[in-house]
Amino acid sequence: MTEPFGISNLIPCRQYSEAEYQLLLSRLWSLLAVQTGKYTMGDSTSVTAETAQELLSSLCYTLMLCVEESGLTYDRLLTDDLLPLVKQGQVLLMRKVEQAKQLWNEVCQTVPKVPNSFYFETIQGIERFFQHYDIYYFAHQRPLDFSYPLINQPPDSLGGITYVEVYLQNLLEENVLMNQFDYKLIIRLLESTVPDYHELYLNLCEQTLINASGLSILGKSALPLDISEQDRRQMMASLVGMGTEEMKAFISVQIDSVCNQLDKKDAFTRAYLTTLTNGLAPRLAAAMAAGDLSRIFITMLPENLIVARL
Amino acid sequence: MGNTDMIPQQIQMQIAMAKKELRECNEISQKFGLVLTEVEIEELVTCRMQALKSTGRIEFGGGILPKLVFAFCDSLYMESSIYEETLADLQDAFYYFKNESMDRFSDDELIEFMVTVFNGRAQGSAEYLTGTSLEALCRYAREGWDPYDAEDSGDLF
Repeated sequence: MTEPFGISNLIPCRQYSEAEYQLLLSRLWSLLAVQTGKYTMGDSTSVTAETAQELLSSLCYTLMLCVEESGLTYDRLLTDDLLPLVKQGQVLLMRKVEQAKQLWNEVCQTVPKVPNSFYFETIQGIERFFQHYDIYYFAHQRPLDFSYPLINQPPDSLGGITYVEVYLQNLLEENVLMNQFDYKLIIRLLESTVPDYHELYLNLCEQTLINASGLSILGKSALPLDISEQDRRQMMASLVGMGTEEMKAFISVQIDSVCNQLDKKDAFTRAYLTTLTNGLAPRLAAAMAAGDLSRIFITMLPENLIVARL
Repeated sequence: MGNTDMIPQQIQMQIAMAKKELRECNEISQKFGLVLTEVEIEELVTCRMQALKSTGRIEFGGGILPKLVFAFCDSLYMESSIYEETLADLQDAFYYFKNESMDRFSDDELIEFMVTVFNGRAQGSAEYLTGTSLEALCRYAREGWDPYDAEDSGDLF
């Protein structure tokens, strides 16, 4: 279970006075009483504190969504009747669920032909999430079985369908990037990096983009993906003397070059790959200091040594 | 609000509502010779808050006591000398076994069971009710009924 949503999510950027804060608490408490009555369908006058916490978190998440996506101000929570705002939030949630389902369909249609158990379990887990997601009482809850790691993980502060939406957008982005390359080369690269990649908790796209950016440093086409020892020596000559920040800027240029080669020049892709750049630069700096880039820019093993998994 | 800790204003409102509802209950229970004094009402409401806290439950409105009064006031085993004490015991048991049964029974179902056993096998003993039959009921709720456990299942079926 994620950190419960609560009052703090409803007062993000402004300071309430003590009187306003108490008023908000009182209004939320009354709302929680109504919500708990609906949840128990009148069958119980009491619930466990944990259940009440979950119901409150769901209400706070729904209200936060309503305020932010409807262009309201948080002050409205002190003046407006909260029930209609909750209903408005639930309508928004239903819309987001449909949008997320469409994203999921696009992800399924673009799944790269590169096997990995965590990837496929996550895809199935997302389908199960849609079947069980409760926008009325547990809207804030995130699925627990999103195990496939992305280059750019959604922030933990996101809840419910918001998290799923961002996750799917990022997963789709990675699918599209990977599909720009020959999947057999990707498999060969991954087999050369970690032979059991198909069963391991690792991102399938990252090494592809790292090798692609390495080829870009050398002014070569990114598509073949293979980097030789001679290539690495040339790269070291290009990178020698650079500090981490300089390296970050340099890699960013190479990532841009790869995006241009793949004809993926949109701002989302560039912003997405900034995370890759930020993670790669310190690794590269350390590898340069050690005089060995072979664990970053991978040389593919010969084909006859690879057991291809198609 | 961290996050479901009750705020003082809400506590006061709940206490006032609970007392009001118990006073109203006297109008029905007095027909059976059972009346709660103001002191007893105060004590029962205090017991309610303590029971909720100790069982980790949250309750809105006046609480379960009115239902318990209406359900038990016509019991042959309910005596005026131990009326308040018995209600307190039944209230404690009620919240405890709501948890133990994982909320699988509605309030009315649990109270109906309690009344049946209290007036039957328990012969007015809240201790028997809570120590045996309610334990068996909650085991049934958690694990299913054991047809070979005739001792405990007698009250259930």
